[in-house]
Amino acid sequence: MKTIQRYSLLFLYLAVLISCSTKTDLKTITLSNINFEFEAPIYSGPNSATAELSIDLSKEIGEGFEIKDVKLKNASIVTDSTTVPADNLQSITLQIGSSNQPLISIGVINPTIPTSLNQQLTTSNDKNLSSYLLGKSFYLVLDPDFINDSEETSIRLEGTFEFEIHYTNK
Amino acid sequence: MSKLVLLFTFNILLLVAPSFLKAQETEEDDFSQYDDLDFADEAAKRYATSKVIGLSPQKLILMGYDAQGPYKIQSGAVNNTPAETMNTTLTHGFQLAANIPVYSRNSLIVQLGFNYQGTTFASTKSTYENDFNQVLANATHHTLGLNTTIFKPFNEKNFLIFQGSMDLNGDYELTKLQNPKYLKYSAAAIYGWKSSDRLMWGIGFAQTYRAGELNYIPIVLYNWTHPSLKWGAEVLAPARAHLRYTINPRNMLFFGYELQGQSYRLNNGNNVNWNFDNLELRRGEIRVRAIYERQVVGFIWLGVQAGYRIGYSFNVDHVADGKDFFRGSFGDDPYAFENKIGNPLYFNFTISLVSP
Amino acid sequence: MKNVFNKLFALNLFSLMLLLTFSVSAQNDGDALLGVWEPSNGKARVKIDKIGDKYFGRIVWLKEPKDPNTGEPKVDKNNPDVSLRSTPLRGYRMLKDFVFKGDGVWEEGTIYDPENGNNYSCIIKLKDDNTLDIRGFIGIQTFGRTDEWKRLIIKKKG
Repeated sequence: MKTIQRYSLLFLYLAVLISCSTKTDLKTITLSNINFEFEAPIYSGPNSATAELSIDLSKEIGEGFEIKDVKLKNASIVTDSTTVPADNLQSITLQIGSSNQPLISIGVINPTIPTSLNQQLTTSNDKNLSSYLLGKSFYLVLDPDFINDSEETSIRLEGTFEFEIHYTNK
Repeated sequence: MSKLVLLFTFNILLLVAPSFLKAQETEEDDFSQYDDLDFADEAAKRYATSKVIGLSPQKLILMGYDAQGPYKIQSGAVNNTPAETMNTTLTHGFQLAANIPVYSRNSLIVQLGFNYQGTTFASTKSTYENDFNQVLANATHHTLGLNTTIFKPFNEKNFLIFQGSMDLNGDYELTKLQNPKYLKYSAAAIYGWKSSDRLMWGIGFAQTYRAGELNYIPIVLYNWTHPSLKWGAEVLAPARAHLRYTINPRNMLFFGYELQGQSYRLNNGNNVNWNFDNLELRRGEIRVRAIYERQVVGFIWLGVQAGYRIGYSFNVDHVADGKDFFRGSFGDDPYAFENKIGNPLYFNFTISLVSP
Repeated sequence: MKNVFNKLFALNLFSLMLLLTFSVSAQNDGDALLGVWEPSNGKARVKIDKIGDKYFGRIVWLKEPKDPNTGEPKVDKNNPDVSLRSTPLRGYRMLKDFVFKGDGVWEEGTIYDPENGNNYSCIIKLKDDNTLDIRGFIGIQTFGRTDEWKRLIIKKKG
């Protein structure tokens, strides 16, 4: 019994030591007012627009840190009630890509909420986006699915994206 | 001055030309236009594909281990040695197979394959009075085979399947194969119909050794998936038939049977001094089973089978110089000697690389 | 000074012509992939276009656009990522990240099979102007399968 107690205490001590030595910090970065422009003709069905972005992570979290992972925590898309009636939207898909990383899906809402101008996407929890954000630039591809053709000459959807960055001291 | 202006203009163009020539962003699509399209090449045709929705994935490469529980072999008298019972403890062996599409077009698919199966009869004794039991105990039975499958669709509905194989079966050493004149040839041809994306069926004819000896039989193909995609049937009767339950596309259960068998040349190593030259064991069995297949990681799948092995045939024939004969259901050619075999539970485990 | 100026002028003109020639030809060869294509099973139609320098293929038509079990437009229900299973299949980019390598070959891309949620490495070859060989494979090209896709155009009237 005494041997078991000794080993348990040792294990607990080691666990605390290890967890303290690899303490992970968290930083949230929000990209707001990201515009996705759709030019006429705008047909019913899936449409697509791209926004090219870049984040200077060293500016956001300082030097001497190692990025462990980056997740998209929240993604919301706001529509303009005059050009995009909320009930003309069926679904929205969000993807991320860059010149040296594959295009992957990171968020979707299907169906959209017909009474709301603010659509909150379900974001993917198992994709580490650090390679995208650490690169020179990356792009977000927004694919809204419109129910009816639009007479508008252009439509703008505005996105707000919240990235959670886990990092440690190097 | 005008040259200076021109020079300036050209330099500006040089700087901005790459961005002009960079590919456009995606244009917006009128998706309704995609209902009404035709082939750009007027000679192009649509063809039936070789699969239905929900079918279990095809194995490109398979490695496995098969093991049967204990049972008795009651061997008949042979070569002036008495009848004797052999108590097997484990009948087991490894298997390896590969099936690679070597030519793939909409109008023709050709696959080439290789297979190996080993069977060792472990028993309670190492020496037997009965010569046949001694031969069984002495050496592992091997099957080494090459096969091909050709899928030829004629249009969206009709197709032809041809399968052919040649197998070298016997208790030879792998480093010293038996003479190719003892190769066994099997073939099947099926004419089929693809009624929908969830049903394809066909009828045909086969030359086969699945019952242990040369046979000619009609065959039926039936691959079907229920609209729910949960249930299905994968049938190539009378060789095999399974009901499939799809838990999800990465986990499947099967219930059914398979008829397996081959004809094995005995005593290749001449370890038993008997006065026969060309005796072949006609080994045929029916396996009633449940199978569980699941994706492990990526395209690696695990398969686990458990069931009951029913010994259909375990008799021995004279086959002079590899020239086989057709006995059929009504032939009365006597066997060299007859044996009875018990029916144990069995277990099979495979790891496969599955096809896209 | 005048001589230097003239030489500079000639060099700039030559460079611009060279750049235009190679850029246009490079763009045209890679862009031979652009258009609408039909896989051999005829169950979908895929439009290939470009984002930046890479080529992507979106499903623009489905033979059975609705799920017979739900009556709703088909979604990516077999995606290994549960949070993305409501993504509509119409508009889905099933071909991604292809880079033109010359000689009618596009590599470094992937093809997604919505029927089982698997992503495969993929290579595309232009067999002729209206035929593509799309080979999905695992690891090396030997362990794969080639599907032949045919180009589609708007039906001729009359």
